[in-house]
Amino acid sequence: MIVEARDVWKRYGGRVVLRGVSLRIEEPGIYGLLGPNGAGKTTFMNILVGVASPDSGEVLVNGRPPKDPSVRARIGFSPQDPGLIDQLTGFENALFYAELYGVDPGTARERLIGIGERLGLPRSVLARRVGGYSGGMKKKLGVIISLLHDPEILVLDEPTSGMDPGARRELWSLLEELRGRGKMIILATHYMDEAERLCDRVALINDGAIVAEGSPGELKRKHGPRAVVEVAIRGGVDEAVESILRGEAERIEVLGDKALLHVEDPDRAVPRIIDRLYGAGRSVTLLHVRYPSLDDVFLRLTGRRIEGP
Amino acid sequence: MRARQIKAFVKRDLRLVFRDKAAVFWLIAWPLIWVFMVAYVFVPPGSVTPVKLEIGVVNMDEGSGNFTGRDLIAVLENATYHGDRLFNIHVYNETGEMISDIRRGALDAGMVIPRNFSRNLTVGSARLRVYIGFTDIRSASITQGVLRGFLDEVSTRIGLVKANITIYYMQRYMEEGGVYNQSRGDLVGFLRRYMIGIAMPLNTSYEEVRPEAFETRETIIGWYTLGAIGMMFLYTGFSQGAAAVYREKEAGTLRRILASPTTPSTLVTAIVLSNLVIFLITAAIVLLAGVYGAGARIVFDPANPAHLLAPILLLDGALLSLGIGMLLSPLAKTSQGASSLGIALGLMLTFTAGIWFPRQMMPAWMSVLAEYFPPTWVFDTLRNIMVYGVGVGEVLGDVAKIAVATLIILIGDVAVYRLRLRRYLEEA
Repeated sequence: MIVEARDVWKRYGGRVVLRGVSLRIEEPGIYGLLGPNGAGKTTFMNILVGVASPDSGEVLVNGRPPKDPSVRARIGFSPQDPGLIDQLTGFENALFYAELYGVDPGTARERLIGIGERLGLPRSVLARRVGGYSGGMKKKLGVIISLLHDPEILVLDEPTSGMDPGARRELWSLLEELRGRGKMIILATHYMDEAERLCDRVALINDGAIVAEGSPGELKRKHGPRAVVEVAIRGGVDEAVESILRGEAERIEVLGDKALLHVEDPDRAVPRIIDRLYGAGRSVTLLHVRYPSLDDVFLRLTGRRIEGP
Repeated sequence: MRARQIKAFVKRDLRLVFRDKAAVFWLIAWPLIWVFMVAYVFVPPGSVTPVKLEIGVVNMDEGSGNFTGRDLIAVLENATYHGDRLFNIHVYNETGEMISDIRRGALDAGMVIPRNFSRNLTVGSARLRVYIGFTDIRSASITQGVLRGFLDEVSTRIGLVKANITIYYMQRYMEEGGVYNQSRGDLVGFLRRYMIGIAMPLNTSYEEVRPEAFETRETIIGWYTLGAIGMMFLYTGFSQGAAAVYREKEAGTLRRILASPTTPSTLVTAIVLSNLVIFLITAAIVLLAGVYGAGARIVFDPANPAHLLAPILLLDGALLSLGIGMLLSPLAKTSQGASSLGIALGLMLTFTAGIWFPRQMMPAWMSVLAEYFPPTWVFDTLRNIMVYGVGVGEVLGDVAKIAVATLIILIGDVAVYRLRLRRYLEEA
């Protein structure tokens, strides 16, 4: 399977939502679209599954547009809003969608029960009306529905938002298993840990454009700082502290009483930071050195964070 | 695949409707309330609503026999049903003037009593010409039925009187030795004419005569049972047609449905078909309750070709209501707004376009709406077939008109939906 986007532009009203997005996914695996809310991930996914059309440019799946129903039959889509009807049971909702893909109800039911048990939606829960489900349960059912016709490509828009940590981990392991079975998974997320744990390749999207693309390791090596030093200071980070630290890091970000410093050589930078702060009469309550995340890469490339301040 | 997808929608929507108490109320309970209100409150058992017909009469008879034109007018004037006069008689001097009044709707019917009426009635068979005002099938059917029943009864009674007189004189002449001053050949000819005159003196009727087409309690309830189905079709069809896709969009299901191999045309077909199934089920429930619970006269005879049109017309009525509803959808921005608009407009047209209130009861300016409103054509035709027993020949023109209107509305729906679906998704 080859998914290809060529110079895709999309506008809603007067606002440009996608600005010449191009990408090519050729191999099975998990491909992440990583960006903050409003970056254009959902719009791109809508175009990818044939729900919306680009204003210019094109998206092709194996050389054919996703508007073609035979292409859509090979894609499983889990939108952000799971699209469930509260008055119907979990079974009824899922079997309705499965029938739209031509899946035999017996097979769909069997798959639903199997994946449901695994993700914490047992048969007794599936037999209840969806109106009584929590947000996380609805989300799980939404993801399960996208798997019932055993698609070759799985397009998941923020699949774990609203899920409890246990269910998130279970879904991650399910996605890893699907990758192992040769499926292509395209995953939009704004969770760093999710992207870093799951994705083989990642496209960082900001303001409708892809700002960088590669494996998480490549992106961090190419665009990230070598290390991030997190310092908490008694009394908070004021202008005086910032001016002290400015000379020790290529970039400083203040988060409450903490400062995040992007440094190239932490072994040299850390002792100097401590010396200078204590020399100025400020005491350090926490100091933590970590490797950069995709969020740090994003911050460096765009000046903004993915998950918000 | 397409059939399977449509089946999935029908199953889903049937579940949703019959689990929704409000939907069940509006689809089934509300029309039934009205049918039973008509049957047991407005037209309780034992009551009827007599019709008073405006009848014009031109009397050219100058004879002075036992039963003259003036006698016939007097009988018409005095005819009552349960104490109510059946006819208002207007005497005219000229036939042309009377026909002109029928044409402009001032009279329901007119009758011309010819010059030798009383003489012919005495010695043979008298002709009587009756003109029926044909404003619509229903009124014409009632007028013709009442007059025919009345005049048949008059005829029978005159025949009876003449038979008694004949027997009296035959007996008397036989007893007196067969005294008769005509030749034997003339006597046979006279008796022949006279006997035919006994058998058919006149085509008429009298007193408590109510032909099939007269407004009995059963036909009134039948009329309103179909009216209740029409009412339900209108407000539900308009509301469902206008709000269906908005509901899918607001529930988040539209995005998911259109990401599946379901095409937009399959989606629209499925929405229409699932609503048609719901409408036909609920219409069948209301029909059965109307006939067996309220005593409505609604006849369905599969051997009658006109009756075979009834299910098609019912389907057409549902399709028209949904189609008009779909045309309304661009006027609203939410499912709530579309649904409210559909219900309000549907109820308004129910009461003003001849669906619930007979158009004959409405002022002339208002009944114009009924003339041009396709769902009214459907329900008028259904009533003519199933309640008044009109033949297939008399409704074929209406059926063709309805088919053309349905086609035009459906073409409009396709155009509107092509534009709207794209817009719904952009907004989603």
